[in-house]
Amino acid sequence: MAQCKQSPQEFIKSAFTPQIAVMCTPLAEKCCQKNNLNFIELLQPFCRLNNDVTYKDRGLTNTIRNLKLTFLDISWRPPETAVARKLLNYSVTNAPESKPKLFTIGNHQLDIPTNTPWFESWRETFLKVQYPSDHEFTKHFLACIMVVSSSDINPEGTFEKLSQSLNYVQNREPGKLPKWFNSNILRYYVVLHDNVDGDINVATKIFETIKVSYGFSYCFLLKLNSRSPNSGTSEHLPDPWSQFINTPIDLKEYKGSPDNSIMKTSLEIGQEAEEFKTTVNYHPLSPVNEDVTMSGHISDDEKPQKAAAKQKIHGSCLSTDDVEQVKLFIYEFTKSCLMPYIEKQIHSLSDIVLNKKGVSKSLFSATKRWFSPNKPGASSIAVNNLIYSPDSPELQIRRLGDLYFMFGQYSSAFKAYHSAKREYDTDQAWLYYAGALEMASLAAFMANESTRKTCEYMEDSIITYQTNCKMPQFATRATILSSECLKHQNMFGEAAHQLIRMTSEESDLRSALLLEQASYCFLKSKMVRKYAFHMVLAGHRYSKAAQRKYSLKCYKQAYQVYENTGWDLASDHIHYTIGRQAHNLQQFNEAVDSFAKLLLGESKQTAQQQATFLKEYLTILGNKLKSEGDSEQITSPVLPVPELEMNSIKLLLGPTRPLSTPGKIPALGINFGNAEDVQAEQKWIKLEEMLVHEAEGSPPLLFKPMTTLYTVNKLGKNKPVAIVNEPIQVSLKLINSLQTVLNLMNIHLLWTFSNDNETVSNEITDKIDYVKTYVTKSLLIEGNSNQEVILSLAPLQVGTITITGFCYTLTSSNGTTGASSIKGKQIIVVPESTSKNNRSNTTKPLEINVVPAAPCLQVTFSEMHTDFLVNELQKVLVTFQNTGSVPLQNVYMATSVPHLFCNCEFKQETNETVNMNDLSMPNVRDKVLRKNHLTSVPLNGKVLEPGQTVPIHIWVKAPNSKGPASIDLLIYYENVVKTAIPRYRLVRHNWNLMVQESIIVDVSTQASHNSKTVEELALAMKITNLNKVHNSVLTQITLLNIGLLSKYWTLTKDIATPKYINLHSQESAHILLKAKRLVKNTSEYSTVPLNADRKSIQNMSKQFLAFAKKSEKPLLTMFDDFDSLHFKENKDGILLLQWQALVIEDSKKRIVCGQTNIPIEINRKDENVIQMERILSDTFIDINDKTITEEETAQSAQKQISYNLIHPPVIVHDFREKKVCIVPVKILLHSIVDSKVLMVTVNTTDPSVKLPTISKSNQTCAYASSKFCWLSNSKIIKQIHPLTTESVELSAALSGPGTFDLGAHIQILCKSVDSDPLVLQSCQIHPTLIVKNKDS
Amino acid sequence: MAVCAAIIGKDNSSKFFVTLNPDEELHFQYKVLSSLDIIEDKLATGTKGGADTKELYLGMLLSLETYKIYGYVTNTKIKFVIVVDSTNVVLRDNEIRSMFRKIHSEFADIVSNPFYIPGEPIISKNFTTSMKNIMTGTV
Repeated sequence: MAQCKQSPQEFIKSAFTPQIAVMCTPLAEKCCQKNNLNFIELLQPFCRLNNDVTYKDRGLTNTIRNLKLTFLDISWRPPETAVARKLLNYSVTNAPESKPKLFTIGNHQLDIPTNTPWFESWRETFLKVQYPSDHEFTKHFLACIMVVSSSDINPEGTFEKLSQSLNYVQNREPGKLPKWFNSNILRYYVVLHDNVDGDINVATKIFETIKVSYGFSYCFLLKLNSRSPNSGTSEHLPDPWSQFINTPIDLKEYKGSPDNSIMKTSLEIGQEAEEFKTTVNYHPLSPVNEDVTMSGHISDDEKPQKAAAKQKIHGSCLSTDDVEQVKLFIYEFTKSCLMPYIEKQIHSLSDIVLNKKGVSKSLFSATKRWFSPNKPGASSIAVNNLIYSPDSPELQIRRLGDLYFMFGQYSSAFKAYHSAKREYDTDQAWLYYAGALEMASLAAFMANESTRKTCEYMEDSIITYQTNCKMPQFATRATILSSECLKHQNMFGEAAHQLIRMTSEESDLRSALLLEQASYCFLKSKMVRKYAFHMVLAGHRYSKAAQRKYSLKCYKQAYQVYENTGWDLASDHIHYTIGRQAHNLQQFNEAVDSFAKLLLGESKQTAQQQATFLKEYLTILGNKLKSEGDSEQITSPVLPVPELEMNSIKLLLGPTRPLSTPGKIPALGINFGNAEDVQAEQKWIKLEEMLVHEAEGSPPLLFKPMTTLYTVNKLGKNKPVAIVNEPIQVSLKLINSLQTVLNLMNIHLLWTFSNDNETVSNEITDKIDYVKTYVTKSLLIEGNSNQEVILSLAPLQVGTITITGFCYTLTSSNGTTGASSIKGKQIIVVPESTSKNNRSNTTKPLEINVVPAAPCLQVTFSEMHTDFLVNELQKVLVTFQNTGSVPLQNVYMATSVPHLFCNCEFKQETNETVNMNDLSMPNVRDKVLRKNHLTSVPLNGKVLEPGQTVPIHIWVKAPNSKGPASIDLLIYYENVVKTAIPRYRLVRHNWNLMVQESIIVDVSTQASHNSKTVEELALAMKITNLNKVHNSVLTQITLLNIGLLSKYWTLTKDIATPKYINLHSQESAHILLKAKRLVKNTSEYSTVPLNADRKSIQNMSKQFLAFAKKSEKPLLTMFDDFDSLHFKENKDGILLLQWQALVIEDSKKRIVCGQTNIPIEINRKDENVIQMERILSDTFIDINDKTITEEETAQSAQKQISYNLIHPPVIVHDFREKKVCIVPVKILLHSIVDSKVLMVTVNTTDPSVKLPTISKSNQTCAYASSKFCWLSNSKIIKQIHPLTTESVELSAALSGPGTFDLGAHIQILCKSVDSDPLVLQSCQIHPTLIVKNKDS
Repeated sequence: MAVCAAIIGKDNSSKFFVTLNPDEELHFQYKVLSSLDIIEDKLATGTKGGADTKELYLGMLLSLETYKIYGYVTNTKIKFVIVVDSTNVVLRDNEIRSMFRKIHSEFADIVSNPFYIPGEPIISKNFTTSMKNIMTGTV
């Protein structure tokens, strides 16, 4: 990963190559220009020798493999700072791309470029633009080649002239460029000959003379251009020059003053690119203020140059032989001229060094060491103050080292450098010291003798360059070199450390490149996090250096690490920067994606920040759309905000609610809120099923409820059906997880309509012939909140509509400044549910079938007060209107609360009595059920034509408990055409009532014992107005009427009442009523008016009665079990209390009517308490179950007859006249069983009863005496029919005055069938008879 | 009273982050993230010593102008970081140490939860409240 092409050794070698100057005459230059090359360029591809060359050093032969020479024009100068910067920038920008490769490091999968050509090319350029310095000789010219063309008029003279000018250049003041290795450099003479244009004889002659004057081995005849440029391209050589000749940005423009004295000063200036340095103290993690480099200009001056470079063909006049000649020339030069020269130089320098050593040891250094501090850096004041003269012995040793180094004798070089270093250290010549250290370390590395010590040398060198000499360019160079060495030795941490140290505010590009390299070092030592962090830093610096491409690349690489790690701030920053960089690079898709990520999910950024993100996102998106142009304008982009919750998509198909008119309420219908209430939905479905059954006449084979409200689940399973001209409503839940307000405008659905002929989408056209789209103007979603939005369509033609998504304009509402808005969309799909598993991830589009027009029944109700009193009755006017274009028929209403709903106004109750036992049969039961729940609505004629209206009245009653209550109504109607789709339609309505207390009635019943003819019942009522004084509603209740609905009883009229009974809050009235036995087949209604004003009662009696009847019968509802029905059976009847209430609420008065139903139960037992106890015990003791039931039957057998005695209460009798007083007593026997004929035996001869003994004492007895006896037959047997009364005449004989308990000697026994034993009836009465003596 | 506590996984990704003031979370993220470097350094030097008697508590990592950052590393290289206001003088080394110990035991509980997938970010109301309690010292 991120390898350099060159090995570090190669790199170091190529960084320090022998420099050879070239002097060329214009004619020679011209000769080369034929090939579109200059002389230097011509040589360039062949600078690296393929053959080995050797030289001798102290008798040892050294072989140099692949020696590389650098030829430079003598007038060549390193470019000026500004140009150098441009060059460096250019080298990075134009570096070839590198292919990323996937590496797995730890748990991370990282895409890392295999190499970094931009870094290498920058490195090369950086080394190239270095100014040669006095403290080192590697950049100094070792030799000079003088080139003269054979066509020059006087070649010898020219050589002479060239030599002279060389001398002049060499002897100029020392600080100026070019710099020479020493004063006595190697000179080489070349005659350039053009094979085509020139005369070979002339050339040879010249060469001969030159050979004579300069020596054989110092001359060369270079024959070129043997091919004429037009000689055809058949022999086309590969162009080895192209890769060396880069066309750097117009260098010439800057080459104004090559020889100026700036040279020296510019040495100290960092020679690198510093561009766009506007914000220095810039925090890398603050994305807000990064507007500096965002202006989006890309240097476009490169393109034409590239194009121009391509056109040039190099070396078109060179044949293969010519190329061989060039190679030979370089080889010859090296072998026969340079090598001996080097040998000589090394020899002489070694001598000097050896000689000097003795001197220095004895004299200078020893003394110096005493007086100077040893540590470098300790005296930073002495910066650069020491400059050796070029020929000083201290420099000779360095020269020697450089020579050794350049010619591959690394260990000797190290020795030389090492000793030079010590010397410079003592002299405190810091620049020289640093240079020596640097080279020593490199030499050690090259010689494979690298130790910890030598690494420290390098470290020391860099620090000295940096701090003591303030020469960052040398420090940078040292760092570049050293990092390669360290990397080679697997010391990645140290390498990274050095690289990072060299990053500074000075140059962003350099910092960026070094940081990038450092991060690769971290990666190599498996420090992924550090890698990512430094990658971010590098990316940041790249962006400051306007290298957007690399910046983007760095951030992307870093993101691979930061992705999903939970460091939100970091990933937000990365997203933001990637977005901006990609935007600047016109990679809009990436930019938009990246920004979209910032807006998704829960961001922890501040609201303001999020608003900025949003705005930026919209801007970028806008630019993207602009760039994509008109061709793709049709499809608007998918926006990331607000989020659409797919699972809450709901679809509602159905007619629009009519406009509300005062006094009328349209049916509530279905709305989106209904989807949640499953229980209610079940209820509606059940009602619907009943309706369908009723309308069809037979139960549907497979009942499928008609759905008009689709939730996501239902949408997955069914394909909804919509009706032409009726709206399709879609409810969408939009979530804004941002903290900033989202402003959506012009929201509407996107659809595709297709029928047999064509397919149209409103994304493309604005046609409204097929579907009408309703647009919601604007919607604001607050930060961190949800919003439901309902969008609708109305199909105008039959076909299929696919709702593809919804479209809106998103505006960043960031204050007033330049709000940018983008029209975007979001896709709507519904999860497709397969039968097996509902959680499948497949989705499908939302398709809706559109069918032809259907009838549409509009139902309106008269307005009614929803505050009800308990048991209040209200009349409601229902108006049915067919607003569709098709006639309809068979209108039915159904309710789940039939006891609160009455249709008596338009329908007479048919008296069908259903035997209870039949109810066990399902079909009968269903029929009864339907009868209870459903009502058909009479239409004038069978059909309701479009536009026709039918009004009916219904009554609604409030339930008899306080609190909220609802009365629902489902209205069914069907198309006249039987085959139409949909077959039938439904209207829902619901009254939500608030029920408040009205009155409570307590009734206690008691058998009356003094009935004269038939059994009588005493009813004691306590009626209380429950309205409380502090209630907001004040009610004043007037009792109107009491009625009794019973088969067995009828109210007797003998009641005395006040004119009216008015109950204020918490007042109560007691009424005592009497009912007598009157057995009928059907329930009869008997009333006792409680109010003098009877008119109002008359009017209402019909519906009172209707409701009463509903409550009298056990009403079978769909929610009851069959078994539970029996409990609801009521034998004795229902007491109805009709009332009128004056309700005062907030000074508004209204009069309402109501009816309270109280089922009555005759309580014949005195032993209530005992029974209670038994009931209680029942619940606990199960074992006794059997005995209890037995006991119970015994109990009921004992309660078949009740009786009372009729006799005068007081009798005055003259006992002196007649000893015995005979009192006639009539026993009335009432059968209280309604089914059986009873055999009753009245037994008056109780064996236990002794004959009375008359004594005086009984007169003073405290208790009623039972000392009497019955006359006549002692056993009377009677047959009594159910619920009838029989009388038995008896006579009691009393022997004296007193009070007698006449019930004492009577036993009533009864049995139902002959076989049964007689059962003693438990009814015991104790009527008292007072007999007085006449005297007293 | 600590102002921020974080749990950072083996791969240096944040598993749990809680701040007393939720608005400052990003601010603290930055601080905690930068302190990871020091943890790494400390671990690198720490491993050279005897591995058996390893001290999990790393001591103070960073002392900034306004905050002090403390670190703790479990044997499985899960890092706990606590950020304390520097003006707070009540919390001394021992208190911080016990705070970490409590966090460690809470973390052990979370990891023992069969519904928690190790390596996933911790999302648990219970855990958050108990962490907050530890931070505020109400436990």
